[in-house]
Parts: sequence; C-alpha cells; structure tokens
Amino acid sequence: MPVLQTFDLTKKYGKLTALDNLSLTIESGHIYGLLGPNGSGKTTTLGLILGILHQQSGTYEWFNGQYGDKARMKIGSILETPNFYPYLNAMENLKITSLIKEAKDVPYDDLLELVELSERRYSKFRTYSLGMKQRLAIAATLIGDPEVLIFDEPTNGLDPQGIAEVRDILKKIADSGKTVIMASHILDEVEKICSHVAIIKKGKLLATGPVGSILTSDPICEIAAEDMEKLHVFLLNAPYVKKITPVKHFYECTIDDSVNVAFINREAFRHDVMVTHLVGRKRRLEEEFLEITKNN
Amino acid sequence: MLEIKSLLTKSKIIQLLTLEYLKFKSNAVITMLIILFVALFPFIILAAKDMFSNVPPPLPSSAVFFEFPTVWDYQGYVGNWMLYLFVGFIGIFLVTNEVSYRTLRQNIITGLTRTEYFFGKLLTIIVIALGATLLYMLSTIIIGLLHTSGVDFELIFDNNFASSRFFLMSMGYLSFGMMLGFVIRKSGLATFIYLAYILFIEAIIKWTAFSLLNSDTIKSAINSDTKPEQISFSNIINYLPMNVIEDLHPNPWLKLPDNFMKVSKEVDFDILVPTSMAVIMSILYILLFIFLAYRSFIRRDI
Repeated sequence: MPVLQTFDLTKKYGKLTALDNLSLTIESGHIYGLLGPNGSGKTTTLGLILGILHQQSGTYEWFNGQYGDKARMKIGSILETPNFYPYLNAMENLKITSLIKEAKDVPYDDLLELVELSERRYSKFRTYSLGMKQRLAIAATLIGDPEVLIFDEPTNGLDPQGIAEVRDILKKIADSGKTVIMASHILDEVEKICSHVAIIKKGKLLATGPVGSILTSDPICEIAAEDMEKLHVFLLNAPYVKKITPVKHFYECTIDDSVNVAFINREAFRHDVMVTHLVGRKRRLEEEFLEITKNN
Repeated sequence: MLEIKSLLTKSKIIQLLTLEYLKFKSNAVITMLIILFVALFPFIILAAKDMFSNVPPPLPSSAVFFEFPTVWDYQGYVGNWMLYLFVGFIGIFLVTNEVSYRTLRQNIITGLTRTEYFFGKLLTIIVIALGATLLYMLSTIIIGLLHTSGVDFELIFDNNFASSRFFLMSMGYLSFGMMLGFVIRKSGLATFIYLAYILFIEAIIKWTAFSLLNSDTIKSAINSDTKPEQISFSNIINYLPMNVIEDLHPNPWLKLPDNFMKVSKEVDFDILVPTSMAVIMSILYILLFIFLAYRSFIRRDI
C-alpha cells in the first residue's frame, strides 16, 4: 500500500524552481532515503508534503487520502532543525507534542530512555547541546505511535559521537517496521539505513528504486589495447559491456555482473584484440552518486 | 463548514486552550506583561488623587474620577492606555514568539491544521480580553463602592454597557496585535508598527486626509480673509480603526460640554465618534483584523 504519492509537485521561489515535477511513490515499510546535494530540494519536498509550503502545481496524497487534512497526526516529523520551546524542559515540550497528537498514555520513560535523555528530562531545552536537541526531536516524533517518520538531515551538524548515537537510534526505529522517510546528503548514511532511495538534484528526480539497484553498481573494468580502435569496436559489440567511457589511455567500461575480467580477456583475445591493460573493480558508491548527479 | 463544526466542539476548544496555556505559562515576556497589567491597572487611577487635587473647570472636583457612575468612564480610559501598553503586545508575541522558535511550523507538522492553530490563538485572545474585562469590572466596582456615598444598584450599573465596550476595546488591541503578528511575523518590526501606528501613524493619515479634503476651503478662506465657515470635513477620518477602538472608552474630558472642548463654533468637527458608531465600527474592524490575519496565515509558506 502506498503511504505517500506525489504527482508532479512543483515549487518555485520567484524564478528559481526548487522542485520540478516531482513524482514519487513511497510504500508502507520502506526506509526511504531522499538523497541529494545541499540545496537540491529535499527540504522543500518535505515542507510540501507536510503542508507548511504551498506548491505551484501538482498534488500529493498521504495514506490514499483516508485521513485528509489530519494525515500529519499519523506522521512524526523533524524538519530542518529540532523546534521546541526553549524555556520549557524536555517533559513539558513532549507533553505539548502529545497534546497536539492527541496521544494518550505516552511512554515518556521509554522514549527518553531510547534517546538517552532520561537524566536531563527536567532541564530546559535551551540548555541542551545540538545532539541532545536532535535526540529529543526524535523522541517527539515517536509520540502517538505514528505510522510514518520523517527525518531531515538527522545527523547534520553533529560531532562524530552524536552522529553515531543518532544513527544507532535511527537503525532501531527502522528495524521496528515503521515507514521512514529520511532526507540526507550523506550517501553513507542512506546506504546504511535505507531500503529505498530517490536521488534528486536541482529539484529534479534523477533516479529512484531499491538502494541495491540504484547505488550498488555494476563492476567497472579499465581496459586498454595496442589497437585502441579495434578495442573500441570489440567493446561496442560485446553484449555484456553496458557503457564505455574513454579515460586517458584506456576505456572505462561498466560491465554486466555476470562476467569477470578473465572472461573479457579471453573474449578480446578471441576477437584478435591484444589487451595491454585490464583492471576490474567495483565502483564506489560515491562515484555512482556523482555519476548520476553529474550527467543531469 | 465541516472544519468549523469540528472546531466548535468542547473537547477541541479545551485542547487548543490547554495547548496555548502549556506553551506560554512560563514565557517570560508574556507573563511579565500580564503581571504588569494586573498589578497596575486596578490601582493606577488612585494616583490621580494627588495629581489632580485641583481640577480645572468645569469639573467640580477630582471626586468624579472615583464615584459612580463616572468612575466607569475614567477607569475605562485608564484601561484604554493599559490595554495599549501591555495587553495588545500579547497578541503580537503569541504569534511572533512561535515564529522565531519555529514552533509554529512544528505545531503544524506535528498535526494541527492551520485553521486549528489559528483558532487556538483566537480563543486565547478572547480569554485574555474576558480576563481584562473582568479586572475592569471588579476594580471599577470596588473603587466606586469605596468612594461613592449612598450607592444604589441602579447608580452602580448606570454605565451605558461600559464592560461590553471594554471587552470590545480589549479585542480591538489584541486582534490588531495578532494581525500584525501573523502578517509581519518579526517581533521587533511588529512591535514598532503597533506602537507607531497607534501613537502617530494613524494621526498622520488622519490630518493628511483632513488637509487634502479641505485644501480648497482653507485656501479660499485665507485669500478672502473670511472665516472658514465651510470646514465641515466629513467625520470619515475619525473612523480609522484604532481611533474608533480608542473611542470605546475615550478621555472623559472630551465628552464635556461643547464650549469647553470644541475649538470654535465655526469649525464644525467632532472630536469623538458617537458611542454607538464606535461599537459598530470596532466590531467590523475586529472582524477585519481576524480575517486578514487568517488569510495571511492560510496563504503563506510558514
């Protein structure tokens, strides 16, 4: 069942198109990463689907429209920064969230335990470190046991320990079976936590699908021969070579998972191509990400 | 319509008011404004005992400040200033505080609809206006009882709906402040415009309009050396919003006999808006402020 569908969402700020006809479908149970460089439209997307920004065109629908305007009651979200009343303590702030969510019997102890803030529960929010604020925000998203959780750059600005702590909590939440939508510009984070990913850049959707098929790429092979033209013809005719990119003195080819370097070497020899350089490697995720974002 | 119906349930109203209470019960600025208002408003008129021991004619004595029925007018006028200086700001800060803490958007993200959020603010200013009116009634009755000899029930409540007018006046300042909060969203700028508009911007508009409306009459009067008999500029300029709201409880001295306050017989203009018109126009302006605030809030990105 789709939890969220967007249809051609477009958001403009003056002349700048922050989001350009974005169409996404997020299914129940997905841990969905919105991946893109800073300023690519991730937060704009979240702002639109959370009803705080108005789109110029397009629509979106939560839960097939069954909750209408009250869909956000079933969603726990953080957008950009953790937003709380600075002069109130953690408990008072969480109670405000509970009142809005109309949540009864909220397990405050467990929530605070999960985000490791039990001891600071009566400290004013303004005295918290950024990491603590972020963790309190995560606790607040869980109030009312929402079906969907939305996190926007959850580890942004945290120190390494804070990042580790937050990721740990996110993993626990992801494992609990809830649908999670997470915006991030950090590939590693998306890869470690998410099951699905949408890559956006300059407001355009570049690719979407399971993390495995989008980001875990086919192997790469660097290949050179005495006669580069002959090699090129050979590569063009080989069905297992998906893409050929000339790099300095060799070609960089994306090859099918089913073949290996030895096989290519044998085949080249069979076609009378004398290979002088042949290296097989897995493409790193960063390269794949850059590859997807570069060409658009 | 469906949404309005769901807003007007007892449980929704209680939820939204509780929410506002939890948010602001320990907000330093708002609690300070309320404390100052409650601490000053009932007693400040007593200072007039010393300040105005010799009152100018045609007032008989400063006793009118404290006696029924005129105490309603004088305490109402004191309240006018107190509402302006303390209570109207609450309307601003209820909104701008939440904009700057970004809790306004968080409340929406967490689950309130924009209409619910707005309705919560509206309910809050209504409750504050009711509280201010209650304070006005209690303080006026106590001061009156302490200073009037031979009181009877009729005399006490011979006040031309002073409490209702006080409630409207409270709503006037609060809804004006709330509108500035929603439209301007920045505490500093909204506060400045609130203060400046009521103190002098409206007066500037008023007198600019006055001189424009009457420029021909004034010129011809200067040229022909005759008395400006025709200056009967319409009282329209008296109907600017804060002017009518202030005139719900104006300076009682301005109501004194014509020959005392009117500039001259030739210049025919009213200093005050008639009370019934002030009431009607205030209601219209309050509704307008609420409408403008709501429209701005619904339409904008937050």
